[in-house]
Amino acid sequence: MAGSDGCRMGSSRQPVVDSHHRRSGFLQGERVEAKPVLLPSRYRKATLVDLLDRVLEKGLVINADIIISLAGIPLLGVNLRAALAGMETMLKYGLMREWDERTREWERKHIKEREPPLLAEEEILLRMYGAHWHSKGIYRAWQPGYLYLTNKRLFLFRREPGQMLFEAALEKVKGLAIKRESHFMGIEREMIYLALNPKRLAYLYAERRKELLEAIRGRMKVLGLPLNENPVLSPLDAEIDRLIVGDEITAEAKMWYQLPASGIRGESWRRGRLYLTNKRLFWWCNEDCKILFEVPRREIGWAKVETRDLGGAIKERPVLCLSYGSPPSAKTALFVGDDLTEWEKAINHIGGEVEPCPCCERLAPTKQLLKGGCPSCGWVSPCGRGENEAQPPW
Amino acid sequence: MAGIVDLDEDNFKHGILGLVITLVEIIRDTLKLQAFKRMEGGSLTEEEIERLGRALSELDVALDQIKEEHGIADTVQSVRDGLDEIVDEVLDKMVNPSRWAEEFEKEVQR
Repeated sequence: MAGSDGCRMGSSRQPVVDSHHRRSGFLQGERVEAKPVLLPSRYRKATLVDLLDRVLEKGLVINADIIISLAGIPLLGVNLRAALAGMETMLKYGLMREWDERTREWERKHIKEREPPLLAEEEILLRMYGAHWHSKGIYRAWQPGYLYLTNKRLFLFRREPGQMLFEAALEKVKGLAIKRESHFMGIEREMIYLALNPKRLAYLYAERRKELLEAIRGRMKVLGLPLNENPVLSPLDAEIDRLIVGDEITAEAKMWYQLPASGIRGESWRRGRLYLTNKRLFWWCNEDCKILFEVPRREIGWAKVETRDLGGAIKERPVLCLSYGSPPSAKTALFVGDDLTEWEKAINHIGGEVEPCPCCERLAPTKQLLKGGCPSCGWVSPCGRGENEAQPPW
Repeated sequence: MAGIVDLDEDNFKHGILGLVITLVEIIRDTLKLQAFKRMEGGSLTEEEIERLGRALSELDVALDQIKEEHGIADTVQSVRDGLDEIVDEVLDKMVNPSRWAEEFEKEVQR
């Protein structure tokens, strides 16, 4: 295939130029200069797609008989027959003709399922590319499709294979919030949170967010439905709701957590959300669907944003180091996410006043520095020592 | 071989996603060419041609969207150029045996 192409295009240059100039009469007698425009040359831009196209057009046939033997005695037999070609080429050779017919026939019958099923008197107002965060049981993933706003519903429909991925009647929409969040690729983008009734939170991405929001607001107004903008969001996972009965969330954000090494497994970074409540600080793991890190407020030591290498190619990123537990057995947890300095401030506020240790200059709560000593380097304040030691006998 | 697939080293995920999208694009382009062949082949009905065209253009939109969203258009382009260069070079050697001689001369000189 490629060979024939090359022979045609890559013919030697000189004779062609000569014959060409001989034919063009007015050049006779003049000094013949090769004009590059007229030179035949191999088309230099052969791309991978061209190559694939050529292979598929001609077709590829593999026909192999293999016998694997040991000590001269055949033990395994392989009879291999494979053909790869474009469908048009296949049909030309009479292969898969019936199958082709049947596939198209089936599609013709089921074509109706490819369109989103509409209710009576329902009209599509807006349609755009979007995605919905699907979270049910152990299955969690972004499901992409087309987001439709109709006069009655907001839904996400995927055509191939036809499936309704997310659906909410407009009267069930109670609140709406847009948050700028950093995506795992490192760019920030706006995500849509919809508070629904019964209490449920939908997490969506839409291509043209502004337009969609305007349309939702407009439609809700027409229907006379109240829409609470920027409501307090409940956690995305219903399981968390159950776990935090009685807690009041004061801060929460998407956050990566370094899961400490255990057994044969080394340290690993996991995706999840960090929650600070009036009772504790905990981190919810998206993949495992459970709380993997938890510390009561009174055991939180200090937090500090440091620049560290995260392993692999990710170097020198700001990391939130959190120290917790009492000094002899104080531990450190590492988090990566947005607004780390905000978190640093919020966490350091919990233990009251914070100041750097005079010895190692790491931040620690003032009370702890004075009484128990520095949780990082073990420095003990002279005042603290005086208090703790027994009075001399005199 | 001179054609090196240049992945953005600063951002590993960037590179991986770029590579995946590049493969999807190559498959898409191949499917597109085959679709044109089928359309010209005359066995498809008007309605099927219409549907095929629409599906292909939707795929285009979705891919462009992903590339724009993740800012990987340049990465994808550079990976594709790299791959095309490799293909081009290999084909060039296959169809022009004279290049082997040239290369051999170069080796000897060195």
